Amino acid sequence: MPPAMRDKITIHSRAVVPQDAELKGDITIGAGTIVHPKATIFAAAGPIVIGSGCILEEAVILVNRRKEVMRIGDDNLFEVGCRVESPSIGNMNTISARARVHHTVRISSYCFIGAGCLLVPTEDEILEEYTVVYGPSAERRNWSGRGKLQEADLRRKHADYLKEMLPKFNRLRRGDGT
Amino acid sequence: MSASIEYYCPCLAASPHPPPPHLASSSYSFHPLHNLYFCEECDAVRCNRCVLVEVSGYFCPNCLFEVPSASVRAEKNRCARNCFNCPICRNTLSVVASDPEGNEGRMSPIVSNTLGEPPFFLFCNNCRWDSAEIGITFEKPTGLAAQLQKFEDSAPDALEFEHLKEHFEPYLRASSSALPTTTAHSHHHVNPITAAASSALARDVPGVGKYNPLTRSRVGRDKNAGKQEIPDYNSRVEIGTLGALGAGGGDSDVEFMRRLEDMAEVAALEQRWVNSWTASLRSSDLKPLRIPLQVKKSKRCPACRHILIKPEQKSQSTRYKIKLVAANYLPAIHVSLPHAIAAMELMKRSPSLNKSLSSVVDDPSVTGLMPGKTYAFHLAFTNPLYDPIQVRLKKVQPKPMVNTDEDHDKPRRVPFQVSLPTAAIGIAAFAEAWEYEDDEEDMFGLEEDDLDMDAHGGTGKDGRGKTRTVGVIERRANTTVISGEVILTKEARGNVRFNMLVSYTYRSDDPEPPEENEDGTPSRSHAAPKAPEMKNFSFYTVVDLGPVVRREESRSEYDA
Amino acid sequence: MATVPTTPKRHSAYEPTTPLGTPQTARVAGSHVIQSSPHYQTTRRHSLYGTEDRIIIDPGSRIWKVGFSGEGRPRDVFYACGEGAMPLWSLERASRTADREEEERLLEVRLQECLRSVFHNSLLTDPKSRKVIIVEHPLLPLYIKEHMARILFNNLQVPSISFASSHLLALLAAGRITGIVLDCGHLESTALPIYSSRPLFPHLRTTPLAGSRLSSHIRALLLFFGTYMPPLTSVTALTNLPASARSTRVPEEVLTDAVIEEIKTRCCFVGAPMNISETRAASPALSTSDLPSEPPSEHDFPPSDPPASESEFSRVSAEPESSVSGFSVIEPAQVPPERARPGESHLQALARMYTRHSTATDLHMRVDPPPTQQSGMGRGTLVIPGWVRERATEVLFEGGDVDESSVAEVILDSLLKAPVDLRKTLASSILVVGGTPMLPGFIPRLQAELVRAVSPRAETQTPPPNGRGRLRPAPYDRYAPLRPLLPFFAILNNPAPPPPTSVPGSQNAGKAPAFIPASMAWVGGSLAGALKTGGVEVAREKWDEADAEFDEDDPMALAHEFSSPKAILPDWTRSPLPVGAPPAPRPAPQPAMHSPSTQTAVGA
Repeated sequence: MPPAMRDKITIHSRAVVPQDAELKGDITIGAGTIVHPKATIFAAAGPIVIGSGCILEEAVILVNRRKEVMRIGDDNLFEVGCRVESPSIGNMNTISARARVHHTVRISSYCFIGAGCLLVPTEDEILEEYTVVYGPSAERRNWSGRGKLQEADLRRKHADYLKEMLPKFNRLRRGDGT
Repeated sequence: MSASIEYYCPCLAASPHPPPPHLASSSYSFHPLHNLYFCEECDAVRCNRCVLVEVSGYFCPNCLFEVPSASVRAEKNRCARNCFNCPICRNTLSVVASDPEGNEGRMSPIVSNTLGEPPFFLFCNNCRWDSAEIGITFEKPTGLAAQLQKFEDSAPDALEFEHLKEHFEPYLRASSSALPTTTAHSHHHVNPITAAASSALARDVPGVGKYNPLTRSRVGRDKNAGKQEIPDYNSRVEIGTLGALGAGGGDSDVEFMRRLEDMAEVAALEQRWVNSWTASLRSSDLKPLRIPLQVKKSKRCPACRHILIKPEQKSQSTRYKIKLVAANYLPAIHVSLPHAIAAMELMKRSPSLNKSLSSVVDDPSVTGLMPGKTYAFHLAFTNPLYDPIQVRLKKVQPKPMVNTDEDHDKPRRVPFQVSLPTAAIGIAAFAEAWEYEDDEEDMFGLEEDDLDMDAHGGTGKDGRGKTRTVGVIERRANTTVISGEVILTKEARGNVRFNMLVSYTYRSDDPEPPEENEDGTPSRSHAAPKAPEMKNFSFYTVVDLGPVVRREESRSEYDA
Repeated sequence: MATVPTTPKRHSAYEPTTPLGTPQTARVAGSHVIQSSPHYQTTRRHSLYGTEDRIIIDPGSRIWKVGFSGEGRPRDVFYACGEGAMPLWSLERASRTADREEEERLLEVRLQECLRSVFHNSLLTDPKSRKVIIVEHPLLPLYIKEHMARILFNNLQVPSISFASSHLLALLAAGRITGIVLDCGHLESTALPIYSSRPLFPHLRTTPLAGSRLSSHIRALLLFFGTYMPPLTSVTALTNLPASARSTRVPEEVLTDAVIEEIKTRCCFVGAPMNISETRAASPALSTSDLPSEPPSEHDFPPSDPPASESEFSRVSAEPESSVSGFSVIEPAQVPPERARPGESHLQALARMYTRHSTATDLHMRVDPPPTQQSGMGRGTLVIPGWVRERATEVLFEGGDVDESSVAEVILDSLLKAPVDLRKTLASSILVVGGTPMLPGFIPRLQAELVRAVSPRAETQTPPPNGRGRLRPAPYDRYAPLRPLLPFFAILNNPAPPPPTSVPGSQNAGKAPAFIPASMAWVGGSLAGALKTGGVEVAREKWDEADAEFDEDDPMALAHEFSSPKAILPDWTRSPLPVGAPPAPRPAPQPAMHSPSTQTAVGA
């Protein structure tokens, strides 16, 4: 295991990160990103940079085991209980509940990892855009992309709602810099 | 927990005695109590293998629409509204609208009304399949199945089928009119087409006629019909033509398979096999399936035809108008192995062992049975009746199976001995109040306990002189727990299963003795204060105490 | 022509009903749907409430097809007793009385489960008002028919049952009443000539080379030549190992019946016949097998030196010892007896030849790791060599064995038995049905094999290593009498018919309607039901009468005695024969050589 990183947490002023959320290591959280109080972000070996408009639900665990920066793009949804170690994630991806993504997988954009899917390829690979992983044996398909605008719309509403509700019941955390 | 108990339904065997439990087929005769019914008329247990099932209503499991039985047939037992299964993953499809066109910009402020634009299509939320992939889209988001059914009705298999029928029908008609007497008189033995065929054969076919291999050929000696020739059938769509176009196992399919890179491109057998028509192998060509309807079933006793189960008509309702389930008549029995429970408790309390609970439960060395040891097991009886009952248990000795030729491979020894309390066990009556009083112990007088103590004292001596208690160990509300004991021999293997006969005596509430046919009914209805007439009912069960573990590393501290 | 494999089928013009290609709803309106004839509408009328429609059950030992008569496709298809379950019956029965009784009890309860589910789960209909047509395989043992009848009459109380010969029904579905039908199912392949809708049962020929044999062959090949890559052992395991380093032999537990079934149905296909002369030139190792009249099992060591082939054989870097033991484990049950001890080099030679004759791609398949190795890290990967996909089916086409003729030979044997005058007609209307011919390329290959088997030897100078039947000197040429028929051979449902010749019969090839082989028999049953024909009908009253008599006669007799007076069930093997004819041999399977495992759980 690499030596533990010093905590260095940067949170955009428009991000919603409750104080109860567990953040460790060098973490940057972008504008409009929402972190549930029970989520965990653990930059174990290298830093984690999260873009804007992402939603991290309850009991989500993000871990970076690699030295390089783990970059997470915009508008990604991490559903309840998923665990993601992927070194790079694009935009508008959905990682469904209790899915597990290993650090050998890089996720591009518009991917969808189904509920409970185990994505542990033995060799490094990149999920192409619009890849759908579903089912108990993590089968794959390509999504046609139809309906993505509606989905984006829905995701924005989802984020807006959480942005409104979470601060009512949680004390928000500020980044180190502010 | 591996220990379990199941109840016997005698419908499969001619004899009232249950089959020996070591036979694989015996497991089909035993059922969990909650799957059994009870016919009051016959005073007997009925199971799902013997009851007569009737359809009392069709409904779609997705939209819960109650389908009138008249239209079920035409709709092919499938939902004719908007319910579809994903062809890829069998998830339910939803109808979605297309994205508004034009604004591809990600952050474009489309606060549009969530209704998208007209071309609607079916979308799978699980695997993100959508029907636009195979070119199915709709103008309206309603009545989709009706829109698609046109295709089903004009499917090539249906058309070809009608074509075939037209082809054979005149031939049949002609031949049956040519053979009026034979067909009329031997209706059961002959069908027109074989009759016609054999009459066609009546002209001498070299090498065939003389064999007369068929019973059917004794009719149809009518020479007049022999002239009837069936013309060649011309298929609407010939397989050879299709094959040339690249389907049906032709060259292009072979070529496709040869270059296949990903198995998922080929549709699975289950996705294809309902097709009777040559279709593509590719999973990308699969079509959505309408969701199969389900039925509410009413069930009748096979002997007296009285209704045992009658559900309410409405598909939303989960209640029953009539529900004669065995759980309301027979005492429920729960089997447990105290040593396994103790072991699990210990595991739970000591986290230092650093094992997850699930792995402990699976670990047979802790909860399993070791050969050559003696174990106690608990049977908890719960009385569903409003009257107290007396239960007697008897272990069914396995029939001497050695009369068959089984003895020549090895002398079959009983690998374990079971001791059960022999005396009657009293179980208190069921009362709604019990469900609220948790800690009410021992509602019975002492005299009954004494009785039971005698019982287990007697059998306890049998068990190799050990002081193991065999008898009642707990009474609580309408539940009585008794303890039994099993002694495993050194060479015990497999599952410890034995048959147990449970007889119980209850007070009959039948108001009038004249109703002879009903006198065996253990009724739950309210007891009239009358001279109680005692009735007896017995049933067989199989008790499964779980597998015998072969490993030698025994954990002696858990041994009973 | 959509022969480019990457071209999706949707572009082909024959598929007007697939709503493809045309944009949006226009296609739902069905502009180019074939218009159904008005007659179609009228004949549908009778099925409004549909109680007259019969129920057609096509019961297989593994897969059942059920539906209503008058429909073009079965309503439901299901595995008897769930996927991966044992077949309902097999070719063998237990030899000991106790075992056999137990086997029958099991059969009965499982049949009951299936039949009840047909009515209650698949068709959702009341059995008491439905007549039933059972599509009956000619070799279906009588005791199974009796069990079915008893369950249908006693437990489900159907009003009547008819049994109709599956071969005849399949032929009806092809629009014909004359032809020779090869049913290649799970347990066996059976060829039966039918003339003018009369099955010529005495000319029936059968071979155990069928789906189940193919499955065990695939399993054996994969155990030897497949590769397995287990899943990672833990989350943190870094994966710098190349794939080749993680590859292992295929553990036997990975190849469950369900996995084999999936490989068979989704990966396998039938390649064209191998070009033999090339084979011979390139592999001297095979020359030993070319020795006439000597089974391959007798030369354990072809000239290729064993050590070399061994190392190549265990190329997946596993321990050679385990490979040997792995094979011996599967040997008794799954490897065909005549190749029970083929010697690895024989397999190796086979593999080399097959590899040379296959261009199919290797496939990766995700499989559950064996229970002992499960790490919670997902599934392992099974690599299926391309040649296994293409050449596993060779086992069905390898003839030369007297007891186990190839699927082509079984047709020819049956033709040989048929009267000379009928042969030409029969040969030009061969119909292939059953599940195994669903493999892409099966039927064209069968056509090629038929031609090759009958062709004069000059054309097939060097048959394949196991095609010894054609190698023998002239007196042994079994199919010489059929040689004049060569231009007439035509498979009705051949999707790739040979170019038509001027010979009248050969034009039949590919002329059958495009029903799939697997459902032909069911469709024929549906047709027979719609035409109000079908087989001999047994009404419930008659059954009950016979039942009652039987009970009075001998209340203690076991219901499944062979001598039971349930003779009301039709059975061609018991039909009266002309005087002097030998009694029809019962097709009941011989007692098992090795009795199936006695399922005994230790019990009381």
